[in-house]
Amino acid sequence: MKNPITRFTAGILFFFGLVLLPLVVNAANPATINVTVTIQNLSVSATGPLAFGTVVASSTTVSTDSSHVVNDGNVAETYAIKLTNPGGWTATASAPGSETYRLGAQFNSGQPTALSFDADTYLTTSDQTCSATIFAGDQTGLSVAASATRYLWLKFEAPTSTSVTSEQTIVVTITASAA
Amino acid sequence: MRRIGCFSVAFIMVVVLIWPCYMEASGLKTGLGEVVIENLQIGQTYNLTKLANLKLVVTNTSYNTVDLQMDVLLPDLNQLRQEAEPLPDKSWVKLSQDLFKVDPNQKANTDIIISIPDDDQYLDKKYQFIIWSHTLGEGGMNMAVGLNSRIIFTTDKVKASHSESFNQSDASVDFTLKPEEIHLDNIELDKIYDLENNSGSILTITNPSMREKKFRILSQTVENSLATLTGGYSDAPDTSYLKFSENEFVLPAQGTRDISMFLKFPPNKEYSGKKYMFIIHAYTIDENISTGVYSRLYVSVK
Repeated sequence: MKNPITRFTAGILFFFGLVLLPLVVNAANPATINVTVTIQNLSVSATGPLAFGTVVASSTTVSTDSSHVVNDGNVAETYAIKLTNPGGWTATASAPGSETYRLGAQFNSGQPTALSFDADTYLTTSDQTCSATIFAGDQTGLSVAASATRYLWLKFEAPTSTSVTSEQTIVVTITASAA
Repeated sequence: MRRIGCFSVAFIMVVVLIWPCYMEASGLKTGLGEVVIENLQIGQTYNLTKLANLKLVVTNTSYNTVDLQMDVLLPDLNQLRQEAEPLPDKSWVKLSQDLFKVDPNQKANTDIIISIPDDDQYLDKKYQFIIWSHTLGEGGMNMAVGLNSRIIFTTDKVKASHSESFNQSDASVDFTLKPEEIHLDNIELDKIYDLENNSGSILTITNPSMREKKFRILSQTVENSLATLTGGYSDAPDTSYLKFSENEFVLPAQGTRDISMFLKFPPNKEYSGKKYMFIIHAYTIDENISTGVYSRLYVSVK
């Protein structure tokens, strides 16, 4: 027969054994911090501005020149595109109305026709990432190889009516991410 | 009266954008496309400059002075990599400066400061955020450009005691491994390729710091790395197919080393007609924080 004191001690040890074991596990050493630059060189350039000159209300104009978008970096890049509205007008993805306009963007080797700008080409104030269909003509902004150039064309659909007659600047921003 | 007013407006000339047109290039460049930081501690604030001499540096490659802004963004689902979650709150990240006027060929740089709340729910997590560096498209430039730098970090599984945790070191991730991408096409099976002769690429590692560093270089599968597999490629079937002239070496301060690479696929027909991606990982050893960089080798087999 065991001594009650021994049994009591064993009970305490058992108790602390159960409780302490998880504490010991949780008190494992912190892991070493590792810092790894997995993509070292990201670069993009774009020519501009693209001018439409003087246009009339309700008209549609495709730019006569393109922005040359170059992946100057050393890794493949995917582009995202958005616009910033000028003071007087607001962009729309549907048909333009009073004080609203529609701006399309398309990567294409030559000047595209106005009809080739479909719903996948309309810019908004939020970034839209290029894909096999988004902003795609015979070129895309998806996984663009290092040193490759893409030609970005714009189509402007003017407001049906406007009180704005001064020059307006719409900023189109092309953002590159490692593909 | 009203109809006449509308008619008049319809024929008002609307001038859009800039005229006459003259084309200029607006451009940005950064050495920080993606960084992965592993095992940060909850309850700590990390200035990455102090932790690993890691700053976000963006160069204006335009011919003109640009207004540059840097914004911390939470990624959309399609922007997430490596099974990371979006950072729970943008306020965890601060930049020491976010607005710049940058002359041509000059640089803007900012410290990146990450603060992780002291809450056990953030243990053992992987988070991602983006720093969007972009021109503002002013000064006649209606084509603005931007770069998304991906920052991914993990938190440690355990919380360190006060004495065990640190948030600064003399480690520096300022070394480079060039080129970042190497392509070798139409290789034959069972044949040794010296990549310098066959692709024109020699791997060069440069230590720009003012102190000697010890490096290790190895071949990794994408799965066992922190990289993402490039579309159209399969992961390296066996890292032993790619060998280096040396795997460990010491680089003196401001030293450069060329490393030869040799690739041989065995005569296994299952590789024929396939494209493979290898990760080349160079990293410091014998330091309290390990810092590393990646290059990528893309191979197509005949």
